[in-house]
Amino acid sequence: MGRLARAEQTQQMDVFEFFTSSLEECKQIAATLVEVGCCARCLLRFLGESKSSSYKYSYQNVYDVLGLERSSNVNSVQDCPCPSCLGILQKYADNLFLSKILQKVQDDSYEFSDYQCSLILPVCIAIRQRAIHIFLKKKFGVIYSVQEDKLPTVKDIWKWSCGFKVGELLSAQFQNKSGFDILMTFTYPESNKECSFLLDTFPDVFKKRKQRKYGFETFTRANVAKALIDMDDSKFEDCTSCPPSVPIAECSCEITCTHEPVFVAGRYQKYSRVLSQTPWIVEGKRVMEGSVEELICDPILNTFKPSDHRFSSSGREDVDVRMLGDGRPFIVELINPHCVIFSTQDMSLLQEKINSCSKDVQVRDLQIVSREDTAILKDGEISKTKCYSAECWCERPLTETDLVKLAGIKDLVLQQKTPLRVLHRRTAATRERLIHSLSAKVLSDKLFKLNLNTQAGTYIKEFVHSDFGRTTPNLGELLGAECDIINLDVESVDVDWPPKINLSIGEKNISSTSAETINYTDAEQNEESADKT
Amino acid sequence: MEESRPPSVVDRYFQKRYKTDVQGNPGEDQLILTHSNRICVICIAQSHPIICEKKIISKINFQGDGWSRLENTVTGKNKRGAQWLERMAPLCCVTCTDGSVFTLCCCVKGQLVEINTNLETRPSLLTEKSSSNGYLAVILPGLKHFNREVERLKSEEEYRKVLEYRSNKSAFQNLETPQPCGINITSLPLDAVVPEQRVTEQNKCDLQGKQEDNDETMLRDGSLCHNIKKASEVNSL
Ligand SMILES: [Zn+2]
Repeated sequence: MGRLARAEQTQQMDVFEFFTSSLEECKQIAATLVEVGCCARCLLRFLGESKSSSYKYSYQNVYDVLGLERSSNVNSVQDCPCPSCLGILQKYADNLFLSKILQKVQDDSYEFSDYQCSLILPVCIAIRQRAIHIFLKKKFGVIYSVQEDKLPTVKDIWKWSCGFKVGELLSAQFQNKSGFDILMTFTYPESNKECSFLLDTFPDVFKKRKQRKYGFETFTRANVAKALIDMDDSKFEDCTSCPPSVPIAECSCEITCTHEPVFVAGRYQKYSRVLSQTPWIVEGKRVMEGSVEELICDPILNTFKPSDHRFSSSGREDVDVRMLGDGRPFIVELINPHCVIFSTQDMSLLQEKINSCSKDVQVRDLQIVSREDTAILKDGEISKTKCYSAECWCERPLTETDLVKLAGIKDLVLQQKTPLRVLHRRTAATRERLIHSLSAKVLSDKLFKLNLNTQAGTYIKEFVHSDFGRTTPNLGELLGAECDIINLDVESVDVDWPPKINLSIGEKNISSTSAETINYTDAEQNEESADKT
Repeated sequence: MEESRPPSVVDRYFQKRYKTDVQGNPGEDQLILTHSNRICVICIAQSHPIICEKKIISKINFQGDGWSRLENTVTGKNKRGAQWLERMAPLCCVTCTDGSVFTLCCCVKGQLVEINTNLETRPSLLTEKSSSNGYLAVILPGLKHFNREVERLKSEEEYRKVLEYRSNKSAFQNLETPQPCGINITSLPLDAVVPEQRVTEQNKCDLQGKQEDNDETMLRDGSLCHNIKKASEVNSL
């Protein structure tokens, strides 16, 4: 504990990388900083130490090396926080505070494998740092001719000092960039008061913020930093004291945890004609029970436990339209999920869970995707083609000539007025849409199955029944006889995303799942033909 | 096996409502197809003289003295710029080959979303497909007005009763001269905008219920006061 011999001091100086390598100069600077009330980490900071290791366990060695009393705040400022860091590198970097972080994370029950931390500091810290820098410059001259921005920041030092320790407590690796963020917001009650001289010096900059009445909003980190750059040292000194005053209050700290969004993607098939894609609520009342969105999301939400979520898909189908084939790509954005560690295996179990909840909606290719990949879904919405099959009626039986005529149609340009059924909420316009190809198969006297391959955004029902002649040409015009649509299925949405997944949970499982699907499809077809008669 | 026609687009998506004796002109009935989304498709009813007297249309004109439904630009989801039409605002004038001219009205107040310009080139659509491709216009009543506008109109049942009453009546009167159809409407005031005072009067009528609906129509058309009685009788059936 005792003071080191001079030789030892000189030797140990090598451990540090200060602005000056002269032991004598360092001693003088350190003594000055101690005198104004700086903490050990702020000593290292203003001496220019930028090696993270120096701040971890042995930071108090600086006292021994420079021949100072440990934690001896000479001028009776013992109980006051450090005027440089306002206690953020003292009280808020000690083990007691770190255990509070652990407590908070545990209370919020987050799961994660690594973490990052962010600090929001009181704005006045920038002013205090400037004040100390000017003070040192005046006292020690050339040593402090270095730019102020060469000093390591309070944020950096906090992370160097505590990052790995918090990691040990949380059993999670500290990372500079991680999905899980522990945010510490420090508030210093005197911060605005300490910044207030800037308002008089730069009325233009700060007046825009409606002056004093907006309190907290007047001074931001950005506008204060800018003002400090625009202010020379002597002007600064005129306005405020260098070194800065001893803090009269303590900082408070609020800890908030967030996890960055996780995106779950997949494809869904919908077998019901009485199921809306999104919850159908009008004026606070449910029009229809359940929805594709809820059937898919509920098990996902129970698993990832997010604060909020957003469901989106590559287009959508009407309530009475089934979604068959490989299904429609969708994404669920999970905002601030509390659980995120899931293997491929876990995801396929989740998929099974969704599929066991309802026969109306089945999902496949369920997987976690990156934020960047989600853009593909939105792009596909406009550029891709879609295949439909529609059960249609014609006032007269279709002839062989009709079938040949329809099969011969390629890239037919439609002029579609906004359908009456959506005209109340969409812009009234006539839009050009393409039918790439058509084919029909007679089912019975006046009923036939129509297969269509169209540009995304084509209104199929309106193409068939014409919407009072508002879509032209329409099927009725092409056949020269009135046509109507009985039901519609989407057969494919041609978006090659998300990647298809081959289930690897064992042959047995796969075969039982697909057998179930086949049985179900049979049942559905029976129902369908029952409808027809 | 004979397959019956499946329910039509109109059956599936729309409710049929009627306005009879539009502007107090006997028999000039209109059909309004109302969608649950508030969209109203304005049509001509089967009982309108143009159809029931099998008239041949020579011209359908969407403009008249001081009004033009052709000059209607609608932009955005909120249908900005759409003409706001009162119930009795004229939509178009139909001229028939026998020289008769009829004015077809809006029947519900709201924004004019579109007119059926196909009628200009193919006027026969109006009679051939009166309740589908021969529609006149699409009106979107305001969110707050929609229910009231629909309630003011007659239901299919009420409309059927009006027709029954008429046929009974004409059976009694069949020796008298039939009432002329196709009054030269262009001589009547056709302002699309109802003066403030009248709007208040209408509101009063709304409060008093549907029975007054006809009276209001008659009052607004002034000269046809003798019809008030007839209309009330119809309602009390
Ligand atoms: Zn400090």
